[in-house]
Amino acid sequence: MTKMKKLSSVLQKVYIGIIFTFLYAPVVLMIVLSFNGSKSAYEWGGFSTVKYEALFSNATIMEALVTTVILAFAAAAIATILGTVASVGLLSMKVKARNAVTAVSNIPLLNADIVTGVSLMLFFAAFVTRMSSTTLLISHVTLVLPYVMLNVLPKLMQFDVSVYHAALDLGASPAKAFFKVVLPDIFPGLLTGFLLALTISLDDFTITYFTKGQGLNTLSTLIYTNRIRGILPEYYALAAIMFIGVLLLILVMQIVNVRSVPKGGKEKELSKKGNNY
Amino acid sequence: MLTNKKSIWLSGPYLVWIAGFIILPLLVILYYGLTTQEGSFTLKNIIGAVTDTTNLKATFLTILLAGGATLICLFLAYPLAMFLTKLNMKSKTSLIFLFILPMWMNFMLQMVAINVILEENGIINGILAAIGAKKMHVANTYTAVLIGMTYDYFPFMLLPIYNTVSKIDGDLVNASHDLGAGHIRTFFKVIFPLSLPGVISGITMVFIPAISDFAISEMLGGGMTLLIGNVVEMSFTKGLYHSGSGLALILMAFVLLSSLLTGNKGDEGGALIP
Amino acid sequence: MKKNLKYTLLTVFVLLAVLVSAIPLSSCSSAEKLYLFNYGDYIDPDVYELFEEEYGIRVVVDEYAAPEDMYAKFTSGTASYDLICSSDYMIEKLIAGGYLSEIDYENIPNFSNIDENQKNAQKSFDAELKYTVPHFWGTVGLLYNTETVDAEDVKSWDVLFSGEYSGRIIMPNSERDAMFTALKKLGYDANTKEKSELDAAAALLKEQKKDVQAYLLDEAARVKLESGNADIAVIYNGEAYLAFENNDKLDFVIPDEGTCIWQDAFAVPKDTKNKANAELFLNFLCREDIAKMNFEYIYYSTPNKAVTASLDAEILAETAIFPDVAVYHDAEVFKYLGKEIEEYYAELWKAIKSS
Repeated sequence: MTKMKKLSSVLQKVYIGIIFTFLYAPVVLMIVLSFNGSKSAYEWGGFSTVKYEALFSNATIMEALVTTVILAFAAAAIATILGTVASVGLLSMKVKARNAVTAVSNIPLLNADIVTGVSLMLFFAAFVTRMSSTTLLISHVTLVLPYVMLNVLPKLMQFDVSVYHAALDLGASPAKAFFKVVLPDIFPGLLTGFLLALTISLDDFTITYFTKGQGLNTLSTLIYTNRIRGILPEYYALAAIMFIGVLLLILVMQIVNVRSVPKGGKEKELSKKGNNY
Repeated sequence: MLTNKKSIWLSGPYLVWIAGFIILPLLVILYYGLTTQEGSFTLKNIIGAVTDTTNLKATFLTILLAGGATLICLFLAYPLAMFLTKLNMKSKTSLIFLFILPMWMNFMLQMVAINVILEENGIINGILAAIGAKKMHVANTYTAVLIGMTYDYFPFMLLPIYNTVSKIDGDLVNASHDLGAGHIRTFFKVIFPLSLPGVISGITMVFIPAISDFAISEMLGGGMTLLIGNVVEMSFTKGLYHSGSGLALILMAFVLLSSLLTGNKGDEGGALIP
Repeated sequence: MKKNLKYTLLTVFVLLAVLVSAIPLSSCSSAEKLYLFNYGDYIDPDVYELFEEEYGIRVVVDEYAAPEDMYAKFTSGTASYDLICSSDYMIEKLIAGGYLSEIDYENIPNFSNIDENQKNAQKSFDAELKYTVPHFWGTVGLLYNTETVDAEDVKSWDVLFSGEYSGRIIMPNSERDAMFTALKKLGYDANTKEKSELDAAAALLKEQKKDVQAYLLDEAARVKLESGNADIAVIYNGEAYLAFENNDKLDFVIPDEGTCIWQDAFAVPKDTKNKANAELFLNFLCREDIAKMNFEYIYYSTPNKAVTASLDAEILAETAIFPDVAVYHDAEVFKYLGKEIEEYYAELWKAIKSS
């Protein structure tokens, strides 16, 4: 019996390893090939940083990279502010009205991206003159707004209103009370919403594809347009850099998360979810 | 400010936003879908969307590939989720996170990488040639698209399943064993039913985006794979807005309906962040 | 303490967001911009840099793959361009639709560099020479791997439909070019409007699809052959020269049944706000040194006689770049077929792709 168990435990680890390999093969491949001196993807031409040099001197790709990052930060920031202010307002709404509003705002999240994309495109074509960076930004805010709402509104609803009233009774102005008492409490939700919005916007292709203005490209649309030109050597370096970048970002988030959760908080949260396994 | 009548106004900008950029665009697409180029009312676009032979073929292929990818994801992810919960690790969150990390490399770059692997002279065929085996023709086929979809959507299946499986009370499993049920019986009678919400959530989160995809098939299908998403995209890039809108409306109805039926609120995305 | 950390974090994020949002606005205002809509990788990027250096105008390029995509985006009202580059029949369609603005050739003195033969070809779509400036011209033929493909086989378009090189063939991902090969094999006119003939060609392509490895255009098709991933590609002659440079086992041939001749040209849309700048750029492109840069960037046949006069005899003799006059004479030119046939083409193409 114990032998069987050992065998099955080994097999399980092998299985985990296989899936792990499947998931990481493309990533590792891109990173390894980014240091390949040969132009071809299929032969090794010695260690070299040519592809990185090519990447940094490629104005089109760098511009698309900058656009992608700016767009993501701007969309996430706008959505976070808009969504947080709205959540405070929604709190005073009747439950039915509030549910109706959140249902509508969740449409872009549930709907097929391609439908959201073409509907925005037709809308801009019909009512706005030209597509531009503004229409692109509006589309991205629309896309990420539900992610912010889903993280902020529940936190706000959990908030104990009596604390806020206590602050008022102690002489704080409503605004001061909000910033001093409410905001710190809902902050984790706000931050998660912001970061989620950021990543969703960074990775978006479809919405951007249909709503970008002339002469504007994010990384995704640039690579898509360039598919007719085969794989550019710069992509290997780009993939490596982006992967490492995201990895660092996530590590920072982990550290912030661990630090900001009070002692015992995590366990409490887990047991609340009934995790005794 | 909190919960009083006046503060409702704070949601004003947001309400204007969703009216202007969610509801209005959908009305525009509805208008296009129900009119001819000359602007008169017609049901031709809607009927055409579900009767045209090209569309039907594309729909069939889409369901085949998206369904296939969903099943493969399910069968790969379920055991993985089970095994991962059994591992003795201090930080399970970090562990599960390792399996989600690859998806944060830009989606288009993932497709590029998969293409390098599958190409006629790619990595796999290079290995096959080195051991003297026959070359595989995977690049630019339906199989390539299937692999791409599986790769891209796998984390969306793994997460919800892992979340439910890892929360199953170990005592329940032990009780089942104590009462004489074997491993298989315990799985089907205890573990699987308890994990069903995660499975359903995973299925919708893979299947729904997969049926409306057009980029994966374009990147990996070599222009040979026409999915329903490609037909929609083609309609709009070739300027056929009215028939394209008809098709988009059908697609939307299907997607929103299935979300409603499975109770998917789409909020699993939150779990993608550690 | 902890709250302070969080606040700082939020402040940082918001500040960062505001800062980065402000960057494009500031960089926008620094230079005048000229929006160009072009095929992918069709102008040497250094040319844009030189132009900006000399005239302080920044060229912003959007790229498209097939002419039909260009037309849809261009006419959708969602984007506005100052200059577009497209192929003969598509330009003809734009002229017919009244989308183009007449060019003032007085502002383009370098237009005199354009070869008279090419100006004649230009008249096939711009009858009165009022709207366009040629960019490149060429033919369509077969690029093939001499080691794996019998040179006898590629003398006819039949090779694409015989099934002999199944899985090793790259077809063009553009409806007119793909249909052209089938129409040629069947002996029909490239500009036929007979639906029965078009149906027959489409049926042939549907049947052929199982033998096709991928539908790709230009550079992507070339790269497939260079890397040995495929053996035969229907391709524009301009790609051939670079293909030879990268892989000496490749050769280019125009099948005996003949080919089509195409010309890509620039035109100025009616709604441009920068017509003067567009003409300035056109004049720049026709300048000998710039036209030569572009020629040496992709080696498509240049219509610029000042450039051809300066080339080595060796390059001029390269028939892949400069096709024989004989080929030139019996070749067909794509014409705009009218709205009905064009939509019929789109339907057939969709059906081929989904078969």
